[in-house]
Amino acid sequence: MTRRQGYRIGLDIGGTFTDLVLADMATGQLQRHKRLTTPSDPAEGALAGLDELLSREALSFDDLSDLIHGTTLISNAIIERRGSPTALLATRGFRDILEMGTEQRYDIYDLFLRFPEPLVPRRLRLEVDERMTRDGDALVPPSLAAVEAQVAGLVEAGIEALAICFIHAYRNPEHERLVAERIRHAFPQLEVSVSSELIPEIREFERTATTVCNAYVQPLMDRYLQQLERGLVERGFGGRFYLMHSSGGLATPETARRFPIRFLESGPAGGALISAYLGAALGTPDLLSFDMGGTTAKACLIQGGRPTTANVVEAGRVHRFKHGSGLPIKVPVVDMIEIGAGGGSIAWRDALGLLKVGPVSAGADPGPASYGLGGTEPTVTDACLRLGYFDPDFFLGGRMTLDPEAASNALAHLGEALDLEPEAVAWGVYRVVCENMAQAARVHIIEQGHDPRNYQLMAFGGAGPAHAARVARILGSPEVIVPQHSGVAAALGFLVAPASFEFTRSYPDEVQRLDWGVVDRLYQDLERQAHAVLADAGVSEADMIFERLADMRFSGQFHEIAVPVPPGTLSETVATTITTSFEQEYARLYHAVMPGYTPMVLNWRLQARGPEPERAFTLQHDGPQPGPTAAGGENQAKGTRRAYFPERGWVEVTVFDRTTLASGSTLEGPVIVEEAESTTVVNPGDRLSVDALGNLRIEVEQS
Amino acid sequence: MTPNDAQGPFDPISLEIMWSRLITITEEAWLTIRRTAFSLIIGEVQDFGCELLDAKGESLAHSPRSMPVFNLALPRAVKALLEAFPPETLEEGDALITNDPWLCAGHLSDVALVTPVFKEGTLVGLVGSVAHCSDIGGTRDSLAAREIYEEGLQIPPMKFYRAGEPNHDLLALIDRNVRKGEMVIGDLQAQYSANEVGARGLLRFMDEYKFDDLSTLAEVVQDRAEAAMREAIAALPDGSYQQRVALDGIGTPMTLGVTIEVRGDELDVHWDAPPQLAKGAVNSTLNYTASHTVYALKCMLTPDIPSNAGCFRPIRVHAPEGSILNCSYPAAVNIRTMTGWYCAPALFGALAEAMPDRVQAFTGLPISVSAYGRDADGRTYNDHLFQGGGQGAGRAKDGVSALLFPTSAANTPVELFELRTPLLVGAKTLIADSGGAGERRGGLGQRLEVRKLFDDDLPVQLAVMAYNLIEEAPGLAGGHAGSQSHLTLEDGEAVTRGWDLGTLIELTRPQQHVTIELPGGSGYGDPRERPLTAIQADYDQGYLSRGGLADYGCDVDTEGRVFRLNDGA
Repeated sequence: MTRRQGYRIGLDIGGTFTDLVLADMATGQLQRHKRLTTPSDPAEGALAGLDELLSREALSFDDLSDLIHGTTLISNAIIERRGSPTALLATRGFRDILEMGTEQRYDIYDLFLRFPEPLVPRRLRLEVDERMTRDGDALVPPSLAAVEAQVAGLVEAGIEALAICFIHAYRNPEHERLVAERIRHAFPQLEVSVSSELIPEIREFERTATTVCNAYVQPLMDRYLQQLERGLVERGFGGRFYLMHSSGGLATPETARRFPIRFLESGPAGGALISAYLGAALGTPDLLSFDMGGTTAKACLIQGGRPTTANVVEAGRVHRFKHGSGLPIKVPVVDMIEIGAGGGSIAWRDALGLLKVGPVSAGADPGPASYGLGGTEPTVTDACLRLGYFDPDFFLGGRMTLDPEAASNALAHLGEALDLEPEAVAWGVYRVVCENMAQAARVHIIEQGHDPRNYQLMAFGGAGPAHAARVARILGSPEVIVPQHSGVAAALGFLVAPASFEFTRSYPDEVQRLDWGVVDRLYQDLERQAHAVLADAGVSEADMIFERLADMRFSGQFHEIAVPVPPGTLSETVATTITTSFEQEYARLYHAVMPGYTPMVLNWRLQARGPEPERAFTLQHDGPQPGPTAAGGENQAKGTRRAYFPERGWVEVTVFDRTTLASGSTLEGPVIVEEAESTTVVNPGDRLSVDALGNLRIEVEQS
Repeated sequence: MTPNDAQGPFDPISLEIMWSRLITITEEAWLTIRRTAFSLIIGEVQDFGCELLDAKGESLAHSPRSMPVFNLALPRAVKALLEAFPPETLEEGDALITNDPWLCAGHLSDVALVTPVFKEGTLVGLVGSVAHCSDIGGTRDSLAAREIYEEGLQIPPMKFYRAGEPNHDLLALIDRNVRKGEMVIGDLQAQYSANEVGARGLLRFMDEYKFDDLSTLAEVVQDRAEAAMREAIAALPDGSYQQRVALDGIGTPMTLGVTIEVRGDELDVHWDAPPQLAKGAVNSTLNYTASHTVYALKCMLTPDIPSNAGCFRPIRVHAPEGSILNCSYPAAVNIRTMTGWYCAPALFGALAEAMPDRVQAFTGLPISVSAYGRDADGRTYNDHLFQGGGQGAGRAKDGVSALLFPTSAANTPVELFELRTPLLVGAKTLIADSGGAGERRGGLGQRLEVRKLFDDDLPVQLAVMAYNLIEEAPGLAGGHAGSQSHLTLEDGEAVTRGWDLGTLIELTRPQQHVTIELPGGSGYGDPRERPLTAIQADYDQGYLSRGGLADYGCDVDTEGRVFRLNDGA
């Protein structure tokens, strides 16, 4: 092994913190580092973090073989409207599609709804005399000279990026291609996003919105990557540099420059990946990844060792947790539900006199009342403190002291409004937030036709381990797993990601009418593209994995189910294979068989990926190995404190320091385990054990 | 004391948890229809709603995305179904159906499908939906209809499933009586599947909470919602609030009047409406009138309260029997939106002074175009192109351009519509100056152009429902009216407009161009009070043309700067 293959780094730039994980490929050892994000120039914080970590470990950039990076840059840029002046070229008669959207009210009783402003204002949306029919026939070809003149005016007006989206371009991209070619040639400085290159799928609004978002952040992504790459080169980095995309794979900076919108949700994808990886290592390929932080809780279903993915996500919502209040972005993403339930979520009394928690969060500033930074409203963290789950002197490993009196006062104040004692409010807040998460997770699992009781929970994030066992009990889930390093889970996830990319082509027709020669050529074409992208990312031909999926439905329906398509040359016989798979899946999801209805395929997908990194890192327990202390109950407790559990009332509960718990230990709940990043709460009736890899395993009592 | 859940099962914490769980169950049912429906009108436009009801047929919760009028119409239909099939005659695996406009949602296209839910042999609740099927047979020329018999298949309260077995007789009858039967039956199957999903969710919920029945929980959630509604009504000064609105009728304008009597924490709405029409299908049943009435009132009074039967107890709705808002059988009712959709603006107008920050100026009404015919392969198509007008302005906010109201639907994507019908949509674009002027401007209306794609002599029928072709709707507090609708058929030199087109247009050649202009929203407040910066922005974006600046007493100089003309200039 050459020296150059020695170390890999996962780098996750979040809104508040930049997390780094360094893996030594020779030993499998991990080193972590955390620092504040530098929002005005995230590259600066990233480079500083790398400098700090490497110098701490006495390494140089020359020792790094891979740097894998995820960032919230894109999603924040859309929320904060920090993208570039962007224009849109649309088919004659359709420039306002972007502004009209679905025309649907996302709350039927609110007469004064707000919608996101379009990223391209009307004066920068121009129409081109061109038209394709639904069959891809050119009805009106574009006049390229006229288009060039139009765009010259836009460039004059100061635009830096241009989106091109024509009607039915998913069916025949020729007009878009011709126009893009002309513009790219005439205005090389302009970033050009083309709908048929980005997302060749039917539905003009979603396609336009996605293309516009991509264009809007293209210059930003380019500048950011330039800065980062320059810094890396200056420091002597000669390894491979990848970015994490939203559906949980690695891609090159070139891909990120072309399709920045595919990198919208890169951090959360890392969290889901590490859950999948650890789950596979523990022999549990099906589980629910559960990440709860200060503002939100996120859950993702891991099925067969892979995170489930979706093909649309909303960006820049006006109301963060209201579906329909944002911009629909049609890109492959890890299918993540997100609800406004975090440590900072504020509890309040609604107009009906009910106790609500979230979605408004006190954030980090002023934060929960117990932070003593001026917050007066009771939050989930305050409730945990009041219930005895958190130690006021050991919050975040003692980096922060909590004020129990401030928490109690805030809870008491709300209690007056609800006619409840402060302690009852505290328990109520905790219970409501756990129920909210369980309910969202349950819908997510049931929607995919599965039973929540079959899924273990993999808990991480600052607040995850304190709530997971209760959430699991509500869901009827048998076990909670709290991995090590849960505070840097996303960055760790980057280290286990394969290079991957998804390609889609629309060729809609009923299964019995499909021309399999066309499908075959289509897949050959997609595989050629995928081959180039993977080769670019350093994947050798032998290691390339291609998976084909067909989005199917009964003719006339609108929602598709993804069904596997066999590899190799395709012929008529495939029709029966995919039809059978589709009908079985349909019956499972909707309890219905539909005799006499015609199955059809809408889109053909290709998921292309390289191998998972052979030895990302060694899973091993950082704490004591099995020994004399492991035989149950002999672990040295850190102390005891009074905590509330509805099953027992107030009890004296034993508190342990996670780093002192040996593999093989078992402890009966109630018990609390503290570590620098989080606190794990084990309820009465549950049993905690520490496995050989250092994971906390909570066997959850079934009610 | 120790914290404890046991101050009764329904402390503010438990109740919050259970209540949101009920709403989640309806959402699961809703998603099932969305994913398994076959028509554009249900699967894409989302003209349906799902509801969970107690064993008496009183509403407990409806899906957050739900056609507003169905939230009242469905419980009424459920009660009628329970009257026809008393609980002791129902068994597990039954599903009930009706589309009776007087019992359900006002026209035959809206079909209620309701599944009783049993626990250990006892009826504990019902799960149901109303959905607008793509076709129900009968004439497509609604204006020609004199009686409901001409409007399609009437389904009185019947069993759609009996003890888990489909009612094949009924299915055969439906299949033979509607256009594109497989699409209609596929949608009914989607409704049935959704009920199954909802029923499973309800039983799981009851098991978890060890409920044998829902009566106590129902009483608590309904009482709480009722109390909130009473509180909101009580905050209105007692008295009588009135408004009249003008509408097109069927080419001859008519007016509707409303009087809202507020007494304490209760409210009576009295509609004053002309006699029902013998021909033309714009008659509204009392169910439909009442549904639109309570919907608009809820938006104003308690927009944040989850809806259930309790919300509507303090509200009574009256309309003279035999009037166009309370028509009698066998009146033709198919295009009752032509009257019912004016209820909300009338109610907003009536309460505009009493609660100025809770009302909205007139919103340009949606226009639906249903396209029907056979393509060159002999296949039948029948789908809706559905689009919104401009939203009316409020005291604090401009109206949104192109927004669907009072329906909660989504528009039809042009590409999907073209894929399913051999038509070409030549444009879908906002109309400059169409938003009513005001301190807050109305949202812009939109223009659509539609023509046949192929020159193949195959006829396409377009059933067009348009509003505000002749009557404009004034704004509130000095705001101006938004633009009216315009409907035009150009065929070479020949141009036909507005009501002369009727509601059924037949196209045979691509040279025939239909242009549909949807109305803009009306404005709120005196346009001269609108900040110059807002007027400049509207001008810069092309929402206002130079001509449109006149409404604001403004003009523009050669540099493109908007300036105010002197008063009286």
